[in-house]
Amino acid sequence: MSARNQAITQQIKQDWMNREYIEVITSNIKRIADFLNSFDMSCRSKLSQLNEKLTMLERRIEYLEARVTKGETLN
Amino acid sequence: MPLLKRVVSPVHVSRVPLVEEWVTDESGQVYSALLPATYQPQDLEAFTNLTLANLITQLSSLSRHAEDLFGEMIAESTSILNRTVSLQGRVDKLSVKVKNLDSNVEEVKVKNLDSNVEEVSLQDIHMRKAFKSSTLFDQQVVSRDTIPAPMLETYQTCEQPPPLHQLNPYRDDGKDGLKFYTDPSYFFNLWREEMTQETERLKLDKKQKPSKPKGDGRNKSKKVPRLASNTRERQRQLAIAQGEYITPQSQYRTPNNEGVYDESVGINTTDGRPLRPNSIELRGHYGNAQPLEAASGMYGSNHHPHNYSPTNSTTNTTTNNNDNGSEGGVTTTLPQQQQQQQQQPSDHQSYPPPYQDMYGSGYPPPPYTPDGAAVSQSSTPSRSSGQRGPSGRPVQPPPDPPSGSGGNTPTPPPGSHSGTPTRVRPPPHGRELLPPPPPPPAEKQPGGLIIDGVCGGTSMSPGVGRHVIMTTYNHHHHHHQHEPDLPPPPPTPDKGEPDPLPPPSPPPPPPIITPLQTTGGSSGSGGGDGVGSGGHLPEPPPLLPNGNAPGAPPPPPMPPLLINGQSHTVLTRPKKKVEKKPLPPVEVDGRSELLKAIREGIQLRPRADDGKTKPKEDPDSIDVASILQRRFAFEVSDSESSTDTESDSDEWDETSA
Repeated sequence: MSARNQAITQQIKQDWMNREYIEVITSNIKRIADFLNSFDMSCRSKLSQLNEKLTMLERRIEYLEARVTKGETLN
Repeated sequence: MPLLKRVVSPVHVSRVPLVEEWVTDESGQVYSALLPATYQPQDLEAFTNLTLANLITQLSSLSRHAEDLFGEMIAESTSILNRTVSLQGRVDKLSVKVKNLDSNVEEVKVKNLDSNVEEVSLQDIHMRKAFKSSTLFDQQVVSRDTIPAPMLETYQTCEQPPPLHQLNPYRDDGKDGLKFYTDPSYFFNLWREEMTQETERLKLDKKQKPSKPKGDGRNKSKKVPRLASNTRERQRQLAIAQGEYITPQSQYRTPNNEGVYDESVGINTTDGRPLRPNSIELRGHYGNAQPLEAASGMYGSNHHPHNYSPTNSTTNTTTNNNDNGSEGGVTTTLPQQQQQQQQQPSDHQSYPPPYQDMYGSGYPPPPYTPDGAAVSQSSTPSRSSGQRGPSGRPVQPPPDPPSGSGGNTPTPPPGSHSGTPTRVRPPPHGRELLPPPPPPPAEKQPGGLIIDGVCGGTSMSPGVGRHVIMTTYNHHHHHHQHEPDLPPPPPTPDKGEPDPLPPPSPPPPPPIITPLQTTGGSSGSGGGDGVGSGGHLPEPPPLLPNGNAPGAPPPPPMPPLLINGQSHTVLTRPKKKVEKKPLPPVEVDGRSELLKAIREGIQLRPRADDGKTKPKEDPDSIDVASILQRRFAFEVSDSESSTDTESDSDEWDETSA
């Protein structure tokens, strides 16, 4: 009995160790996912800001070009 | 319920994944079913292995999503980089061009105004068509096409809706059967309907407005007139307190003050009345804030009586109507000038005008937009030149002699000056500074001259000095109207009105001529009035001051009438003024409104058609931008009117305070 009980406890211990190992892996996967999400969000926000500024600049430049170039749009 | 963009696949790590397999039924039927990929593990170690395997799958899924995520960001940043590079190139090109322009300017300066050609080239920049942006607005931002790839994958896993559309042939109402099950465009149609209804409502409001006098037509305008009257009363009281004669001022101020004569008028009073400071400020504000209203309302009441004979006014009105449209309703030639001036101020005011132009080109509301003004101006010159040029010229000669008597101020022919100052208007500050000198000449001038003094006085104040300033101003700030301004300067030195006319014609014939003609016409009209009114010397000066002060209150036509009545009592000219003044304001309002209504109607109809037809015809291919544009146009037009009135009232209050 003792030997069998010892084997069972050994299995349970091993299982708990495996579970801990799995838990570490899953938690790290979650951290990776969190990081990816936050990274994606920050990058997207910054890229969108850049895009916004670029769009604004493009419009301004377009207007300025239209104002400076006379031949094409001249009456 | 949040929509997940990316899902790391095995959500339940310790579960045996289900796999779709073909199963044979007892009856021999074969069908697909989800079955556990493996038998449920029976020992702990197997479970651990299963979990670890699923974790590996999760990691692979995660890495795949990460790759996708980085790929998206790389693509986006790459596009931004490309745009930035292209933008940098454009900026460089632009800087080179601007440098060239600067060098041209320097050359022009070196040449000491002799390089009119160069200036013209510079001004050509301001003469081109209204800028229309070629940038496209993103439409249907949230649609099947823009769905991100990972979400599209998820979407594709969804079951297709039942093929209800196959039953469409059997429907009597012709509706799409599938739409009863699912309608992706439902919310967009809802929004579009709301937008179209809103635009139609605004349209109706606008149509109703034109019928009423301009001031009344606008919702906020009602308030404005009251405020204006109040401000006038306040000003009158102030003037009385100061010992000035208010009555004449009130008459003239009502309509014209806003536009051209404000400053000059204030100065022109010749009495040296200091009252103007307030009026000047108001004028400046006015010019900026309400060019249109002022033009429509003001012109008729103030100028017609004094300057124009009935015949001239009729011809002018016809021309104006054609040219100016809504605004041009005023009968007198002056209105055109004023309009131009008013328009100029709008242009000058920083950059907003260009944008307005842009909008005008792009959007329906144009009635108020600078584009319309520009068009009217361009058109007006040719027409006006023929009609007005001759009339104005004959009249002008008389003013010259008086100007000579007047001393410095007299030298600048009243007619030409008046025209120029009006044009110049946009730069009110310079005028304000200048104003004091002109008044003396007006006073000095005899009765016949007086008329000139009225017109010329206003013009005179801006006089030579103003012209110079104005010209410089124009070069820097004015766009379309600068050209007209440029030609005038030479005339001022010449003293002769005819001179200004010829010079403008050479370079850019149409635009320049128009301003000159307008000026000449105005001067001519002024001269004619002077001849007619000849004996009434004292009146002109009061008119000017009045014009200045009233300029501020411009909004309501009503006040002018009252003022006119007062002026009649006070002034020696009452007969002409009474007849002309009362009529012109009414005519002006009615005509301007009619013109407005016609123009708006013409412009609006296509819009309305578009709005109605588009949604019905092409429900699927709806242009969000067009809908928004239509709506935006309406809002802009409304806001313009409302803001103008409000801003005016505010300014007035401030000034009065």
